[in-house]
Amino acid sequence: MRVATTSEIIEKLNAIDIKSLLNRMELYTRDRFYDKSDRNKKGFQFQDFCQQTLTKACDGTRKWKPENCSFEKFIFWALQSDLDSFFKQLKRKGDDSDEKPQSEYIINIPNYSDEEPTEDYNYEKIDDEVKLQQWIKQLEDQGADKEEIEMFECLANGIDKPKDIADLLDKPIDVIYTISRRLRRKKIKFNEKWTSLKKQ
Amino acid sequence: MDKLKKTVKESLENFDKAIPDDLVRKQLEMEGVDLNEQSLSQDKFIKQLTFRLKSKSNVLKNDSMLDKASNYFKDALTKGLDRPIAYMNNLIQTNQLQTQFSRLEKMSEEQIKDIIKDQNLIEILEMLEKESEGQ
Repeated sequence: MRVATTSEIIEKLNAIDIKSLLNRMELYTRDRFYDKSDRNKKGFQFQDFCQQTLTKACDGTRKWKPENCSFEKFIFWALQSDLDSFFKQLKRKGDDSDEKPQSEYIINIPNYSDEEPTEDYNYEKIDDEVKLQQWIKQLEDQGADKEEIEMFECLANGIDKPKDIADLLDKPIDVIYTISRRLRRKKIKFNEKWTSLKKQ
Repeated sequence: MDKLKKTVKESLENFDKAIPDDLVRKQLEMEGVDLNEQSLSQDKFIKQLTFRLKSKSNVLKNDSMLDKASNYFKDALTKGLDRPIAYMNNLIQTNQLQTQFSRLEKMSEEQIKDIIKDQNLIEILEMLEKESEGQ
């Protein structure tokens, strides 16, 4: 698939509000850090992560393929990937993160189709409703409140416009957004493998 | 990808996209970000980034023009076109390279590139295009 030229990237940057993109990137980055102090950022500020990612995404270090996804989507995929690497490095240096390999933060669901596995996992098919209830239980176990659960149910049902969710939950949009940020801190187990007891 | 996971993923993406900019700024402010300071820092970064990208783009454009011009030149010299030959002879004399290139049609594209790289490539391309049209 074709990689965007530098001229195309310049054109794209001219067409978008870069500051707005950087602000959204910063909010995402902030949400990825539990500890907001400078302790675990190795001297970086939140916006340093965003600027580094945007630079790498524009100077060709990371390759944007326009036919594959929008520029914004690519940028967020790159940011997620850079932050993942950063946290992995921290972990290697003895960080006591409690992240488990089979669980994913809701904030952390991959969103770049190229990076997605191309084949389906060979896991048992579980009815969507059962799966949804399992995820809700997992969220509750992590302390998710009623608002977060209701919001998650909206998202799982494809209701994704902030205004629609605000109307449904009868809350202002800014409250809905705050709920979404709390929700994104929770983890759910995707693709958990079910093992038959017969094999034990 | 499993359908329900895909729905959750897409919903989260769509939700984020639809959040108004002023709400994003408000959230940052609530986290203690000084928006004015942030804006100045972003201006500086955007200026540097676009400058770097434009420089890179110019270098790439120049490389591509140099490739094109040397290719056209090679073709024109092989065909023995008067003006390109005179132009090249003039450049060779100016660069005191007459002993190395006694036969212009034998010059390689790389050698031509080396001679014309610091010249006005647009002017050269125009001259070569005009010459080959008038041929």
